[in-house]
Amino acid sequence: MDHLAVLLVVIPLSGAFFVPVFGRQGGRGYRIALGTVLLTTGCAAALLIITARGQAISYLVGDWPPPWGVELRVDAFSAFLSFFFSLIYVAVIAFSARDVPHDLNPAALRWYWSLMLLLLAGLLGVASAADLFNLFVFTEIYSLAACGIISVRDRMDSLEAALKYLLLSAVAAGCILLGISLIYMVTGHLNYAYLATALPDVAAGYPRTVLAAVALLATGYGMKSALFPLHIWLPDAHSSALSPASAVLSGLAVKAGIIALFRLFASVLSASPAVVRAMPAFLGVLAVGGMIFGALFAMTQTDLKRMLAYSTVVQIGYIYLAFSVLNPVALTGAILHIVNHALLKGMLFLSAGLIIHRTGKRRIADLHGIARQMPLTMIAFTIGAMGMVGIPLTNGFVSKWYMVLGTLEAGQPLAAVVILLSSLLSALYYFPLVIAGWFGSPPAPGQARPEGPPSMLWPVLGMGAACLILGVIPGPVISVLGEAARVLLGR
Amino acid sequence: MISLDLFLRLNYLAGIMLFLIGLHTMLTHANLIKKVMGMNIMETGIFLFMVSIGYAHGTLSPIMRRGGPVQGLTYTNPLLAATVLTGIVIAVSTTAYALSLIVKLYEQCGTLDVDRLEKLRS
Repeated sequence: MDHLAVLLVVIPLSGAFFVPVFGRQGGRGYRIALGTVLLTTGCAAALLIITARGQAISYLVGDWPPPWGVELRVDAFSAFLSFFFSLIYVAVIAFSARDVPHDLNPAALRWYWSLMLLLLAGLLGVASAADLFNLFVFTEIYSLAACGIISVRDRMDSLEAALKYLLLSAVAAGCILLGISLIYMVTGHLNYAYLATALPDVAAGYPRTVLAAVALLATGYGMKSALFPLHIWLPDAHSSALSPASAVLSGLAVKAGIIALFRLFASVLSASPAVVRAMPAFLGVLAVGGMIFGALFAMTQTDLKRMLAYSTVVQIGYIYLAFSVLNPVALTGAILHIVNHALLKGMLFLSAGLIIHRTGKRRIADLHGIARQMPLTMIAFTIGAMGMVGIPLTNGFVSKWYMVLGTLEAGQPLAAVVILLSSLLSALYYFPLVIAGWFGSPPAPGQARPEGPPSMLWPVLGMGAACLILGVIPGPVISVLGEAARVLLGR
Repeated sequence: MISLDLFLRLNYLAGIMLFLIGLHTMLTHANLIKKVMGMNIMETGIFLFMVSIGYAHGTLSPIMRRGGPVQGLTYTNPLLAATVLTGIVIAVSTTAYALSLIVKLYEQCGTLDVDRLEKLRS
């Protein structure tokens, strides 16, 4: 049973190896990728069932004991995220089968599948890492894979966006590595459990070194997760990638930095009172900046995918703000919002991809009356937009509800006001688009095109159904999440 | 006393200085190749810093016979050396990948200057 913890990472990693080796012909790469992702989902589901009762699985890779060896630790928090991440991956991989061959030549296609699986391995690894060494390696795996997925589309804007992302990602990696070495310098450990016992004494003796390390880690992971002033790489990268790749990058990859910071804070850094005072305040201020300025930038965009990319900057702000009040209810909302935003933004990018695939239009102004040509796609897009704004009956409402409740409970009404204000701003850039799509008049009537093929429609509609189910009956998920939030706050 | 302390830890200081020089080069130069060079200088600085931290004066390298550690001898913790090794591998692959992207960009646009690339795009 314990081997499931390492299989969670090993399955997608070996899939990433097998696709280019065996997937030279036509659809075989796709079948290997889909099989790998389904296996990973099964593995994550089993882990979720085991850990939901409050038990954590700790796995020592190669059986080397902790102070030196590499440890993977799967608890309710990481199992919950791994399960939903791989579930979203199933939909995205299924969608890619028809969409991606249009934009890529056959030789590049198998590298696309391989990089997608590598990205998944990195993300799941970040969620289950239990020492800083492991965390750093998986961070780099997913970052490089993310850059690769952008540049696999061999066009000038994609190449430039990938290079910008790569260079800023390298700066972030440098900050993270320096932070890790400063922490090692004062404690002599890299394993979370050992760090947590060593840090309280050390933080009293070397408060400035610990704070510098935390600042470097927060900057590094903030940059990887597009926290407000460090988000400059995101709009280019996410709008120039292939649509299914944008769905994964915007929905899942930016979350890895958040997961890493949550995990680090919960299992290591909360042992030092100075860090507990400084780090959430630092992140909270930047989060508010992202929520306001990201929304203002999103309003001025003319390109559909760029607008969605800026909306990601806003939603990242929500998650960090809810985290910064350090309240279990708000944290439940934040973790739920990681999953909800992944579902919603994944669905929005896939339906945008479907629109671009069928009509070739990607300017917001060209989308008037698009619902007459593609009603099903537009239903999914509307659910996504409503979820982003936080309309009741969608999953976005549930997580925002918990975040607002938590901020009020923590005695920070200002944070609650910012959350509500930013939701209002979201309505200002999502609703005109939805209204124009449903009620606007198409520019050239008569060129009615059929809806996209079923193999592309069902992943999108399936995600839409998941959003509604999570919005109407959130009970079971919330109970698992309560456990995850307890794990994270150590109560 | 402070100056002597600083002198004994010159490698720490050099590591941080290299990190800052590299970071500055990366963020201020418009030439893409220079950015990659800055990235390498920055990473080298971190590796120097980490190797300096990882070695404790007067300890042995942790190569042991079958019986495990010998009583009475102290060994260096190999953790940071392993991390640096992995970091070097990652840095090399990042550099190779960045350079290949730059080659492709140069083939398509004929320039290595970030500002001119930005103009070509819009």
